[in-house]
Amino acid sequence: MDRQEEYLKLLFACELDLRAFIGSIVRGSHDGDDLFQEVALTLWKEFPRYDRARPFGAWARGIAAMKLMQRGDRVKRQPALLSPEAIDAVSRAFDRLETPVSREAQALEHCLDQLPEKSRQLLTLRYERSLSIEQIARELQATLDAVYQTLSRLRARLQDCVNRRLSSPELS
Amino acid sequence: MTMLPQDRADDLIQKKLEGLATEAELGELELLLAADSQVALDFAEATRLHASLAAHFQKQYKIDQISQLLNEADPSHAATEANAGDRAGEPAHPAAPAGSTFVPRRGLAEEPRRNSPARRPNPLTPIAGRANWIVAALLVLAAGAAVWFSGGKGDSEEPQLISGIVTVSGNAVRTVPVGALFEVTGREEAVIGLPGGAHLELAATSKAAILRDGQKIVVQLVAGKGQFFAPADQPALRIETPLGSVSAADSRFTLELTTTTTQEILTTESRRSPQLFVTVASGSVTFDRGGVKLTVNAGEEQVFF
Repeated sequence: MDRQEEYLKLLFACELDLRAFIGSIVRGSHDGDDLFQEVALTLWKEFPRYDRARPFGAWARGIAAMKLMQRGDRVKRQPALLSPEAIDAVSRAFDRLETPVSREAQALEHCLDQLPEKSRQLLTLRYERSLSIEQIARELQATLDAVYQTLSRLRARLQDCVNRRLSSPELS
Repeated sequence: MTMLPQDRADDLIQKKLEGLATEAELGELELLLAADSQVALDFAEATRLHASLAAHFQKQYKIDQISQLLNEADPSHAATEANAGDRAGEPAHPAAPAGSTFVPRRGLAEEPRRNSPARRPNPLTPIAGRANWIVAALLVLAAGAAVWFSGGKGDSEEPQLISGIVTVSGNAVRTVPVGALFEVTGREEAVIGLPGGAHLELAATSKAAILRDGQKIVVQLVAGKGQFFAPADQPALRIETPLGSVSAADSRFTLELTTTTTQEILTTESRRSPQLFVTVASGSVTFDRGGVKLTVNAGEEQVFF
């Protein structure tokens, strides 16, 4: 397996977590794809220095945080980040997420299937049509707070379902 | 009623996910993340779930889009209706191939609906006669790359809206019209395939038009930001902006039009000036203003005023 193939396999295996991490440390709205592309290019340049004894995801998050902080110093239009202490805490928390993304994706699919139609419709508005809470509230003629609370509870319910499914002995 | 500390942390996390947190709330969340490892873990889990939900729903939407386009491009399958007997209350979809489990959802102009668990296709199930194409497309989707259509016999000569929501004069459209100004709405970018294999991803609120210059297609970027892919072995892709034109072949690059407000020294009046950021990921692009040209290479970024 050549170096590029090795790099791409490692990158795709942790892509979702890396995107989630980048999104979590940026304060406001941002172009996630743009930032991810920049980080991916930097990771490739740094790949010769990657220590294979270390988990790739943890290494990639460290490089991503450094890259985004350096970028903020050079380019003023860069979105602001959380504090270095918060970024460090979030990075260590991602290290503690033990479940592979693929298993979690399967569990999530199962849990989504258990939801009532109305809940799935709300998630479709939010994640497929990428509408903001305000836009969803207008479309459903509901209050912003009602939509926010419903989405928050839905996500909490999905997280519980996913965690239960992953810890179920017959499925592990 | 005073929130319990855990509830407060959860609320701050949810607000961060939705972009609703104020600066003060973000500051409060930062302190909690640094001080409490459980809050940091909850935050990591929540952002991962948030990203997983987006990936899941976007992947399904793109699968449906590709399936629809494949059905439209393949007349032998487009005329066959799927057996709708087991779908109570649902009319048969005219584009669904016979015997196929890969059923796209209803028309793009309609509210997208999620299929029920019993009818939802397994995206890994191959379809007779098209397995390799669809598996390849799904692999590309899984890699998070944008899908484009290369030039060749039978390909459309019109721009194709691959994903995202585009409006013309406030009305959502299914195809990108040539010669009309359109806007990308919603929060997701719009991916548009051009004849010859080029494609562009325009960020939300961007405005552009696609024009014909003889046999060639020209993109006019009026406002916002886009990523552009110009394939090899094709005439150069040209993008016109208010500050000049950008042309490229065998390249991947980003263009962003912004305006900055500058203070005039003598009059103390504000002046809004446009700026064009050109960032090249691979290949090279040529910026041309009034015959004066500048090349921007891979890894470089230039700002034009």
